[in-house]
Parts: sequence; structure tokens; C-alpha cells
Amino acid sequence: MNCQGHATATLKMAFMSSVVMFVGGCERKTNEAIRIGELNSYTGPLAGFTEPYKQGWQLAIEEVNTSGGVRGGRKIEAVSRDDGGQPSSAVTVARELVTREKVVVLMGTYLSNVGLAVSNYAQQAKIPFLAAEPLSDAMTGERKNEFTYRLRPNTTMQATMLAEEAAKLPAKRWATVAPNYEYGQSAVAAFKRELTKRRPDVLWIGEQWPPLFKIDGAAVVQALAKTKPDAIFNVTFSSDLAQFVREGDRRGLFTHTAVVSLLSGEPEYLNPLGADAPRGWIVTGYPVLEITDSVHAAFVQAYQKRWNAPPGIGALVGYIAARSMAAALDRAKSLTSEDIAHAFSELRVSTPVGQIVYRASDHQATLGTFVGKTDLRNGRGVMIDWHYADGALFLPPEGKSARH
Amino acid sequence: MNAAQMIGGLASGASLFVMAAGLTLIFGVGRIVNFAHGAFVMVGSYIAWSIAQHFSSSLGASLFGLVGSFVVMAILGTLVEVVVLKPIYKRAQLMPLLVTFGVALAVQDMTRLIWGADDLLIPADRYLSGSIVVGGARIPVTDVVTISIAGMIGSAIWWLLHRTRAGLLVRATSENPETAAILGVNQRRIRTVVFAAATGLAGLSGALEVLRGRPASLSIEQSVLTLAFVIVVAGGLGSVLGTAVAAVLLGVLNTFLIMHWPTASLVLPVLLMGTVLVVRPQGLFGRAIAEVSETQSHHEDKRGIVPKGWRWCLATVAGVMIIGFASGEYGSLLATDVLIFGIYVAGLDLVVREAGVMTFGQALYFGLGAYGTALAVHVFQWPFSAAIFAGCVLSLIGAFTLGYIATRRVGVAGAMLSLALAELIWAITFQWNAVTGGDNGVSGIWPTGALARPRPFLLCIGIVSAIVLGVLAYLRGTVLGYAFRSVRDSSRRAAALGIDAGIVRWMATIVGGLVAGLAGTLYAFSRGTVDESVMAVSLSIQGLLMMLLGGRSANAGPLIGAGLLIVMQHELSVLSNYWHLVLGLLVLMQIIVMPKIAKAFGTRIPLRIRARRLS
Repeated sequence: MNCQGHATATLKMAFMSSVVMFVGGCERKTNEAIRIGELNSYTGPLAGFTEPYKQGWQLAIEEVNTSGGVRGGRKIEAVSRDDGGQPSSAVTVARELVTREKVVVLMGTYLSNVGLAVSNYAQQAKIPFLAAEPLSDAMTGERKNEFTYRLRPNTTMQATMLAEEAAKLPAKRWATVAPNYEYGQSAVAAFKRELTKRRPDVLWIGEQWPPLFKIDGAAVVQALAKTKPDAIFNVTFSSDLAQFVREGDRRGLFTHTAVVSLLSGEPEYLNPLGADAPRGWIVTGYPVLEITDSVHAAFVQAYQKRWNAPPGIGALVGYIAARSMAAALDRAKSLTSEDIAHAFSELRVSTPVGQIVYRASDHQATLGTFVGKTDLRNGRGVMIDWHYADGALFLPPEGKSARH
Repeated sequence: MNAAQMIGGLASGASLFVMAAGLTLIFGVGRIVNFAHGAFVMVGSYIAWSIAQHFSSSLGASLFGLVGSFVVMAILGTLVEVVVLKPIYKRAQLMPLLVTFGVALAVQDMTRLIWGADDLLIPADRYLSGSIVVGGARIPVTDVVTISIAGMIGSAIWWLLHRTRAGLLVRATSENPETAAILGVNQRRIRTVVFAAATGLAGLSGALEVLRGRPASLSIEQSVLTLAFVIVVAGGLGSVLGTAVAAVLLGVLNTFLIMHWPTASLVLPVLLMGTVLVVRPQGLFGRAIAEVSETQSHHEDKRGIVPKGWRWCLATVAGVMIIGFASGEYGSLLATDVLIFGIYVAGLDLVVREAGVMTFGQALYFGLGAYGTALAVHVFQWPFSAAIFAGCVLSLIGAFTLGYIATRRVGVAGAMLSLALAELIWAITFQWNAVTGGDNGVSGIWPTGALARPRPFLLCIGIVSAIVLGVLAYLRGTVLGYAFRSVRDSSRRAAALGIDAGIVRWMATIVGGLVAGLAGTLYAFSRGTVDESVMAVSLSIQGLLMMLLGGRSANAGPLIGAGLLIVMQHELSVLSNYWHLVLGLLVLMQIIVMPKIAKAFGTRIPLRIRARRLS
């Protein structure tokens, strides 16, 4: 190496060592506040959903702290990180939160694969983890562990809710379209199973599996139309959903076909469609502005006041997750990992949509979702004829799913 | 397939053509693989959305949207070319690639800063949303418009290239830059103009998508990039006609195939590219690419013999370990990561810099190692060392077989082939739920016993990396090492000496693959979960980035580069959610500015001091 090479190398080593020593050597102040480690996909294409989610949990923590905190006056402090949208980076971030930031619990994640990786880490590191958004059944099924609890109603629960409504339709010939990864595959499998249970006469005549975020809307719509379905079960979301809806409209796919669609009633997916929102689709979602319950209205008001925008489902989930965390911290006998994890078992939390319970058997919360039909009002998509489907009714009884 | 489907497929192909045309032009003239292409398309779509907000009619919105996107992006392209690319044309072949990668990172976050994170759709009355009924089939207006626009653009490009003097100069530069320069063609200006036009075209394609009703979305960048590469490579790098044919082929095939094979969309692009490359390495209409190494290997690529290197190796490994131990539990975890990636990059360095094999598929072997280990633990419950062995064996098998295929072609074609193979295996891993767990991956891969704590694990990794780096250093001084370098510097001369370049490159790939696989096995144990992202192309690019950031040293470089990138990523992501932007800018700064600073400190200032002493 010549002089220039040496100089560059030395510069770099010096830079690196100084950063690492600074990083590692930094003492984290331990004050009275209880530290929660929060990680979610705050960069990349998912940021549209996770930013409101963050606002939801921030609101909840502010409310908890101003009304006296937990455990006799201690405040909660959230240390928030971007998990990079990938399992490996999420585990890296979780490790940092636990070893450097010294948090006592972990909370968050969005994608199922990320949630599962962090859940696995939580088991290894023996730290309680509340998975807020991930929907994979495996999280409370074959990959469940002592330290992980999950808030949102999982894929099977939601697919079952929709299957109940779908069974009431006269449709016999069904086609499915779902993004080609585990979430899409599980959703379709669960829906097929539950609908066939209720309507053995149903025929499955076609399926489409566009890659996530890469849908060729025209091709998919035309392939579906060829099979001439009576009804379609749709699992696509976000930009894929937008293209599916528009191409479908243009080619007349939906004129004589019923559509049952997972998650499409959520404001995050419905609002961007604007005046293109589909009509008459049976969906799960969140008719946030239509709910008249006073507790919910108070939540909407508080959120609106704090953030100048109405909450979506992400905000609601973030809010409930933080509330659950506070409740568990309050209930726990001590702040050891085992005690906090134990405090979640059969924990009851009051939420803007009713009371939920974290089941001891599978660590799944009984949070449900809203089921209804889509419609177009004032140039925007809304949900009509909706009702709240309690998660507890769509979970196997506790005795059956207990593993040990 | 009926008429409406045919036209739909053609429209799909037409939009793919517009999207990929810019990339092939840039490559043809500058021999640059532009990793920022997807980002440019994405920005174009957002610009079109913004423009459309100001118009109440679909015609106005469409027209101004397309033109506006083209103009704005062309200006942006000029800026990027002049500020970022010009300084590094003369440097190593890989630099423009990594620089454009840095640009892509920065642009992604800037887009989010300006337009927010939500998907933005143009309302239906602002784009041509109607359909015409022709003989019972409903054909959307936008399909017809897209095909027409693509046709017009294709014709315009052809006319500009073949019927104008400027086009003649562009083609001359594309065909043979050296001769063109000798004849007085102003290369710099041509490159700038072509890059600007190509970026404008990318923006226009983004606008076209939005005006067909798609949302402007942050996810466009990822979905566009691989697709554009595939089309450009399959059609022949630098050939606009090839791009058109490949694009239409892809669009029509996709429309047709998913009727009978619904999951085709995931593998089709890669299958197409891979098939074309194996049969006709220059692509459908590309010119036969001469072996690149002779004239294009730059000063930075050539590295002489590195004797006594193993001391530097051990010193750096020890240095990282000491810093790790001293910095607490978290510091130990960080140091472990640095060492693991140091091993990975050392293998890559051997393949790319010692043997001159350009590859975008190194992460494939890394992933195979990781999966081998994961499955050994998950399915057979093997202990730590046995699982590591299993992972290494799997990556060795992969390097042996896939490495053979990848090294059948050289230069950029070889790099693209390695990319295609990596993508193919990735797609299989992604889909094969029963074995690999699909995108959920395999969990529960944790070291047991004494190694479960961070510090002992760090010690173990430290010893392994010292051994591996030492062995590689030793290898560089052996006959094999000499063979690698001779093939890198001039394969013709090597052939004259009886050294078969193909075999030597294959052997380099095998060694590099095994080393990458070993890194992968250790990585699996450090994360506990193995999923498809361990063999994603982004990991290959990260490896290249680390290699380049680390500098020219073969011994300390890999560790330095790995350390720099890992530490930067960690600390930046803590500071801000826009850390991609900061990272991109830092990478650019590193590559463009740092050498100048180092040159000043390393060469100019000592020279001045010496001059002063003499006088």
C-alpha cells in the first residue's frame, strides 16, 4: 500500500473506532421512567401505515403519564426505532434496545416475518414482546412462546369473519386473488377452509397470485374474468389494491361479481382510492367516523386534537398496544421479564372499541374488527351496514388451543 | 387469449419498454449500471401526480404531466451526472454502480420528505379512464394511448440515433469509446446529454404509469429496478430494439402465462433473463461483448502481490475484538457483526479484486450457508459446529454448481448472470414454504451453552475470522493466487501460459462462495432467524459497498469496510427516520470526496513537507 492507501485506511479505522467507543461507552441514564422498546417499519413503503401507528401510541403514553403514570407514579418512556422492514435488521434493532437502551419490554413490528423473528429473539433473550400489527397465525400457533403476545386479530380470525358473511351470498363459483407470500397464502387457505365448511357446495374455480407490490393489474383482472366467477375473494392491499380496483372497473370485472375483501375497509386502504372506491364489497375495516360509542368518540376527539387528523386503524392499534403495555406494567408483581410476561396473561384492557382480553392459552388478544360493506359517499369510500365482530367469538375455545 | 388481453399485454410491454429504455441508453454510452433508475421512475410518477393536481381535464393533466416529468427529471439527471458521476468515471468499474446506489438511497428519502409516505392516486377524472368497446371487448383507452406513446418514443429514439449527427456520435461512443475519443468526439458532453435524456425518459415512464391510473408510491423503486435490469440485459445492453422486444415479450408472456400458472409472475422475469443469457450472452440484440478486462481494468482494480499481509489481518481482527469487549454487551454484538461481514467481504474481495470476476450474486452463497445451518438445527437438531459444517457444505455445493454456470460469461454479462441465478434461487426459497418456511423463514437458531453469551460468541467469531482471513492472505501468495491475478489482468496472456481462465474463475467463485457461506452460517446463529432476505440482491450490493468503502487493502479492507457501513447504519438509524438519505450522502461523500482528502494527506502534504525540507 502506498502513502495514500495508508492514509485512507488509518482515517477510516480512526473514524470507526471512535464511533464504536462512543457508542458502546455511552452510559444510559437510568431515571425513574420505565423504558419501553418500540420498533416498527418507519422507513420505506410501509411508512404510510406506521406513522399514524406511532401517533397512536404516543397519544396513549402521554395520556397515561399525565394521569399518574404506572406503579405508583412512574412515567413510561418509549424508545422508538426503525426496524428496517426485514427480520434480520429487526433482530439487530431489538438487540440494541435490550442491551444498550436497557428496555424492559419490546413492542411493535408490522410485517409477519419481522414479528416472528423478533418474537423468536424475545424468547431467547427472555424479554416480553407485544406484537401489535403482525397477522400471521403462526405467531400464536406453532411459533408461540412464553414471552410473546399479539394484539391484532390474526389472519384466520378475519378470514373466518368474512367467510361468515360470504356464506350468505348466493355465489357458488369463487375465485381468489392474493399477494404471493405467506400472508396471502394463509388468508386464502383459511377463507377456503371456513367457507367450504359453511357452504360445501362452493366451487373454487380460479386463483391469482401477483407478487407483492408488483401486480400487473390488467393481466390479473383478465385472467380472473376468464374463469367467470360469481364472487371473488381479494387479499391484495395498498398499491396492489388500487390497481386491482381500477383495472377491474375498467374491464367490467365487478359488474356481476360479488367481492369479499380482506382489510379493504380500513381508512389507510380506502381513503387513497378516493372516488374510485369500490361499492358493495364485503370487507373488514374500521368505519372510524361512523362509530357513535362515547368512549370511541372521546378517543377520536383526543387524537384529532393532538394530531389534526382522524385516526385510522394503525392509530387505533398503536393506541391500544401502548395502553395494554401500561396495564401490564401496572399489574405486574415486579419489573422482571417473567413477571411482566405473566401480567399479560388474562390481562383485561379497556379500549375505544370495548374490552379485550389477552388469552392465557395462545397469547392472542380478543380484539376484533369491523365487518361491513363499502360504499361511495361524497366522493370517498365509507363502510356501511357494519358491525363489530368480537375477536373472542372467532377464536377456538381456550381449552382446545392450549399447548402445555 | 382474446383481443383485449393481447392489447393489454402489449400495453404492459409498451410501458415496460419506456421504463427500461433509459437504462439501456445509459449503459450503452457510459457502461454504467444505474442503480438509481428505479428511484428516478418513482420521482417521475410523483411529479406527474403533482402536476395533475393543477389541471381539471384529463388531457391537460396527461400532456403536461408527461412533458413536465421529462423536463424536471432531465434537469435532475444532468445534476446527478455532473456532480456525482463525472468525478468517478476514471476510477474502478464498480464505482459508478455504488455511487448510483448512494443516489438511490438519498432520492428515496427525499421523495418521502417531499410527498409523504402515502400512496397518491390521481382522481379518475384527471386521467383517461374510459374504455372503448370493440366487438364485445372492453379496451381501456389508456392501453391504446400507452402503446401509441411507446411507439412514438421508440421511433423518436430511433430517428435521433440513426438520422441525426448527434445520434451518430452517441452510437460511435457506444460502440467504441476509445476510437471515438481519438476522433475528437466530446465524450463528456455526450455522456451528460445521454444521462440527462435517459433520466428524463425514466421520469416520463413513471408519469405514464400514474396517468394509466397507478398510484405514485414508494414501493415503485424496488419493483421497477429488477424488472428494468432484466429487460435491458435480456434485450442486449445498449440496444434499444432489444429492450423493446424483451419488454413486449415479457408483458405478453406474463399476461398469457398467469392464466395457467398463477404464480408465474414471480419467476418469469428472471427465468427469461437467465435463459437468454445462457443461450446468447450478449442478449437478444446486443453486440458481442469482447472480454472486458484488457482495456477496462483501472488502476484501482490492479493490486499487486500482498506479502506479509496476514499481520495486518490479525491486527485488524484483534482491534475489532478489543473494541467490542471494551464496549459492553452491545459493543460485543456490534463487533461480532463486523467480523461476520468482514469474512463475507473478504470472500467477495477475493472473487472481485483478486480474480476479476464481477458478481452481483455473492449473497446467494451467504444465504445458502445460512439456510444450511438453519435447516440442520431446525430439522435435525444438530449442534453448533455440525450445523456450521452443514451450512458450509451447502454453500460449497452451490458455489460448485451455480458458480460454474455464472462463470461461463465474463464482465457485465457474467455479473448479470450471477444476478439472475441469485434471483432465481431466491424466488425458489421464497416460494418453497414447506422447506424454507417461505418469507417467514426458519427460527430458533441460537447457539447454546457457553456461546449463548455475547462475549464468548465474539471470541469464537474472532478466532474463526482470524483463521479465515489468514488463510485467504496465504492463498493470495500461492500459485492459485497468482493464477487469479493473471486471469484478472489478462486472460489472453494467461491462456498463452496454459491457464484456463474459465476454470480459474470458477475456482475463485468456489473459494469465495465457501467463505461467504461460512459467514452466512455464523450470521444465522447471531440472529436466530433465517429468512429469504439473507440471499437478496441487496445483500450482494451491501457487500460490494463494504468492499469499496474499506479501501484497497486486501487484509484490513474487508473489516474496515464492514465496520464502517455497519456502524454508520446503526447510528444513523437511531438518529432519524430519514437515515437512508444521510447514508446515501455519506456513501457519496466517502467515494467522491474522501479519496481527495486522503490524497491530500497522503501524498500532497508529505510532498510539500519534503520539498520544504530540501530547500
